[in-house]
Amino acid sequence: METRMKKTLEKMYSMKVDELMDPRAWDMPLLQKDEPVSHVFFMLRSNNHAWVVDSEKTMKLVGVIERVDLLRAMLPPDSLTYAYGSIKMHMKNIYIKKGAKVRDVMTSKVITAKGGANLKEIMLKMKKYELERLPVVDKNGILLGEVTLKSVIIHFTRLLRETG
Amino acid sequence: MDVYVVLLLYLGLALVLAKLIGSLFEHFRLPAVLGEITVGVLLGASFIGLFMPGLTWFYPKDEFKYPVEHIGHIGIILLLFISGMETNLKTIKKTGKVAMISTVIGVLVPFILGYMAGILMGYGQQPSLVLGALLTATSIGVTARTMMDLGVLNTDVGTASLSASVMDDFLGIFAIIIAIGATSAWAMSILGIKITLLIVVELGIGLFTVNYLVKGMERVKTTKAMLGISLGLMLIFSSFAQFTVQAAIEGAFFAGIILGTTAESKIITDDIKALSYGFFIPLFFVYIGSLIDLNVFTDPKAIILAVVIVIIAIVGKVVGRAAGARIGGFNWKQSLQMGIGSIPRMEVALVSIMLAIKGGAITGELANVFLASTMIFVTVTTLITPPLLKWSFKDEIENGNGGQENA
Repeated sequence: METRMKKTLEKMYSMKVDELMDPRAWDMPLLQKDEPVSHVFFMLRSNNHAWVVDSEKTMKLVGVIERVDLLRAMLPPDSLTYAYGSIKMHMKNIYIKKGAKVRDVMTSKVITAKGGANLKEIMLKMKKYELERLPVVDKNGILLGEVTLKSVIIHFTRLLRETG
Repeated sequence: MDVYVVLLLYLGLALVLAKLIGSLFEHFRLPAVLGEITVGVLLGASFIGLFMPGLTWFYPKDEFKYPVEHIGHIGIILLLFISGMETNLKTIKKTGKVAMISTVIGVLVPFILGYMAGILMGYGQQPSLVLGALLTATSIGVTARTMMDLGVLNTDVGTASLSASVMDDFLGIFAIIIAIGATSAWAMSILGIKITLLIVVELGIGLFTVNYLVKGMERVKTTKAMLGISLGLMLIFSSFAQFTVQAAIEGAFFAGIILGTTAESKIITDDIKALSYGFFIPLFFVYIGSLIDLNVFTDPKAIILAVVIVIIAIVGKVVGRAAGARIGGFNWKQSLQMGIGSIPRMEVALVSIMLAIKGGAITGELANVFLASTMIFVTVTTLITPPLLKWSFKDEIENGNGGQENA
């Protein structure tokens, strides 16, 4: 049993992310940066997150939105505090910001995985940044797909069955 | 008694009181910073000396003085580092036309007026430049909060005011470098070269190499390696900026901008804020409050200076900002509202005065007079802005455009 676990894990570590990435990129929660902010709210009713791209033509990844970002956007503005250099929070609040777009509430700092990376690197990255999902991009920042902790686990169980 | 015993007690009391009194100020819709400065005044040698002269023996001791001073200066460095991390170069580029023009003119007018007033009052070239620089940068906090309470923050004026604040800070900290370095026309041109050198070395090389740097940092396995190395880089950049233009903060600011461009910096932001707002930054504001020599207020020269700079601070900024906003396309009323919103000064003015003192641009009795006047003008500008804004927006509030007020 012990060696089986070990073998399976080792096999998994060296797997390329591309093998496990969902090939149906159109199934990913995707938004364009200039859509009205209301679209995010509808999308995140059933999704935990949404990737934001420049446009669906270029597919260049520019941001991510999670539910907690929407919490920030919806907070009553008098609850925001005013420390020097923290005005960004206010610009992200949809009570304050008129005609807010998707890009106004997104986080533009996205931790990404490069296509071709192996699962060991992916897992370490997930651990380091405490993320359950990473977008996979090519060297120009074009979104190729996503890899989630759930898909890693599913893959692990599948490998386990095969090895057994 | 051992000075170390007092030092620990002092720092402890300073932190606890800074947070408590800061919160009390927030409750009355005033900036917490003002509360922290007040704590500094109350704990300062000057105030304690009024009531308990026997208790001031430890203030001049090196073992007390230096640690307190250095913690304060690290606080300034962290303040500007955070500000840099939150400054998105793309956002600055996207600053709207109104915000852009009104910021530039709004910085130039008080700078020039402050400088001229200094010369007319006989303070000499360099202190006069410092005076001008102190008056440049708006502190957006009070304005944002008041506009919020009045329900007018999501108007064109509100948005332009917020977006102007980013560039305003940027220009403000450059103004003080010029004031400290410009001891003569010759020094001025040398300073130009030094600033260029600083920008090329720190921003230029930094922006090109930061991605590789972060990749490298990711491989370091020690606990909180990224935080430690980032803070280390911040200090190295600060040291270089102190060496070239006598302004460590500029290096910290650049280091912040550079690290802020990477996605990976996300994981250190919270830690840095914890360290800064939990320890160093409040202690900086307490420190600056504790430096105020209350005896200065019996000096008519200080009172005159304070009155003059309060007037210039208000008039210069309102006129400059409003003129810029009008040129940018706002109507007269909006321009006036925007001008009034730019009256408050706080963080950049305090950082600048500390820099000017550390850089030797103002010394001795003059430093005391300038510091006291700065305290007065930051307090006055902060206090008068809410009622003035309320007055300038009275039509919008009555017409219900702005929604209800809950101040």
